[in-house]
Amino acid sequence: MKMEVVRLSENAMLFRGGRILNRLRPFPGLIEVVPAYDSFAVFFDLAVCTADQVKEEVALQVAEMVGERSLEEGKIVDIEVVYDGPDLTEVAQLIGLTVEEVIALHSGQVYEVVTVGFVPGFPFLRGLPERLAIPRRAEPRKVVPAGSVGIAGGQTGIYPSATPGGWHLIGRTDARLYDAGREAPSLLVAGDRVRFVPVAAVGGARR
Amino acid sequence: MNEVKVERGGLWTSVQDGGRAGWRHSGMPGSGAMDMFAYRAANAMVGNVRGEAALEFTMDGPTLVFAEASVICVSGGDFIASLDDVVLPLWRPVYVPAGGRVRIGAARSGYRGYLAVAGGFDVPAVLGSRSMYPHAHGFAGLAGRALAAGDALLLNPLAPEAHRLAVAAAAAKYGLAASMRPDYGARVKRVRCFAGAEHTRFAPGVREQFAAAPYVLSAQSDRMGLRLAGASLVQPSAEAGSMPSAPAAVGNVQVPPNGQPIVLAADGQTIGGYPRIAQVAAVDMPILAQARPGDAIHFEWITVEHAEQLWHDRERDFQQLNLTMKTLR
Repeated sequence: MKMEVVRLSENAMLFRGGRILNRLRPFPGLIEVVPAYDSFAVFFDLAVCTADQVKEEVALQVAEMVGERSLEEGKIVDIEVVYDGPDLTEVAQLIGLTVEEVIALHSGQVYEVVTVGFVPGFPFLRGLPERLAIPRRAEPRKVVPAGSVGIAGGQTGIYPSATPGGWHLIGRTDARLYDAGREAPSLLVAGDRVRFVPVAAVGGARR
Repeated sequence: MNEVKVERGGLWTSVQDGGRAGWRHSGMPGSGAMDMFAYRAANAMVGNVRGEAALEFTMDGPTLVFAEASVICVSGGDFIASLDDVVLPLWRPVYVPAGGRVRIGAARSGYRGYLAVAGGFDVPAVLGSRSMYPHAHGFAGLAGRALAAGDALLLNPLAPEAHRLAVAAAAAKYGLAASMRPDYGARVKRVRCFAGAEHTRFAPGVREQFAAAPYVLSAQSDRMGLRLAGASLVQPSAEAGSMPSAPAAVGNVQVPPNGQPIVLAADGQTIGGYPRIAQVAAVDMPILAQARPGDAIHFEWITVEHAEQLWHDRERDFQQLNLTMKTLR
């Protein structure tokens, strides 16, 4: 991996042109790794190590990773979805498919969690079929209900809590995406795989 | 059991500490005190050296009644404060007798204030921090919400010896001189920055423009982001909005397509899609935290090496301060 390294803050470096998951071997001063699309940030304690040391250590570890099947290590998570989102019909019309075809397309993939952010637990998922790649809604909603499954800009994601949002809502889930009381607060982390399992509106996802 | 009763919550008062580290990969920001300088100074003044939780208030502070004798320090903006109707000095430890009522009123200048108490506030830590996180489901602090009249906060028990020492420090009347504090009161606030992660996406002229004239802090600012209004920072149109989302950090100066910068603050998002022209030096985030809507902010470019030096200097100052407070006892 040929990476570009820039300073993100006094205590963080941004590595571009490469992707690793949250799996750096601990080294003195390391706080955490935050993965994103083609970049990742390494947060560190400036009282313990220097930016140059972080750069060297990460370069060393990344060099060792080359050839490793790092992506296969993520867990596979099935998420039950009731496909009855308020934008489902509109999305189907927009791309010239039936609602059933949209559901089949969306639930027929295995998605990769690229990063978690926007709000705690919100997974950005890669792997949306080309056919479903539509831009965001012209008017973002002021409140998107928790558990909404949305698509926009070639991505799909799940809103863990009620927030404003501009994605097209095609379904909903009862899965608890974030719980600060759990050992792993976020249900999904970068590198995990997600499958959406369609369930009926009644008795399905409602547990 | 030492308890603090909240008679009045103030405008927006929350429990904050040094913040949560290590959860950004799950989308959870660090939170913690907006003005880390004032928060740490208040803790140092009462002998807290382990990042104990304090109260952060905004524009108008709370009224609190202490069940037992305690030692507190109020810091941050220039708040009108009293203890049992006698003026309460800021930036130094103060002895509060059992039943003492601390009233914090409006800020004459500045925006956020802190109240630390010897031993610290005892609220449950969530993900390693007692700082309130009010978004999503909300947690920590006081159940993820701001303080309100009728609330009660517990204090960590303080060993008799530690209490005696804190009382001695209060008696010594040692305070943190204005010359040792950030220049909060300046009419135009000077905030130093180094090159942001995507600064090369902006033409050199635009980077100069950013530091050429002051920006005004917008009323839409909060603990997530400090929004600024001023000269529009244009990006080459081909590149505007085309950046894939990337990890973000506190102090990132993001430039959305409208060209009006937003500085990510303590509760700011962990992933962002806007290019960052600059990064506010960590030591100057307290100046921004104390700016009020309408205040003028003048950015100034420094090197990242300079920012690191300032960071180390600040850490040394606090080590020294903790030592001084120890010798006073």
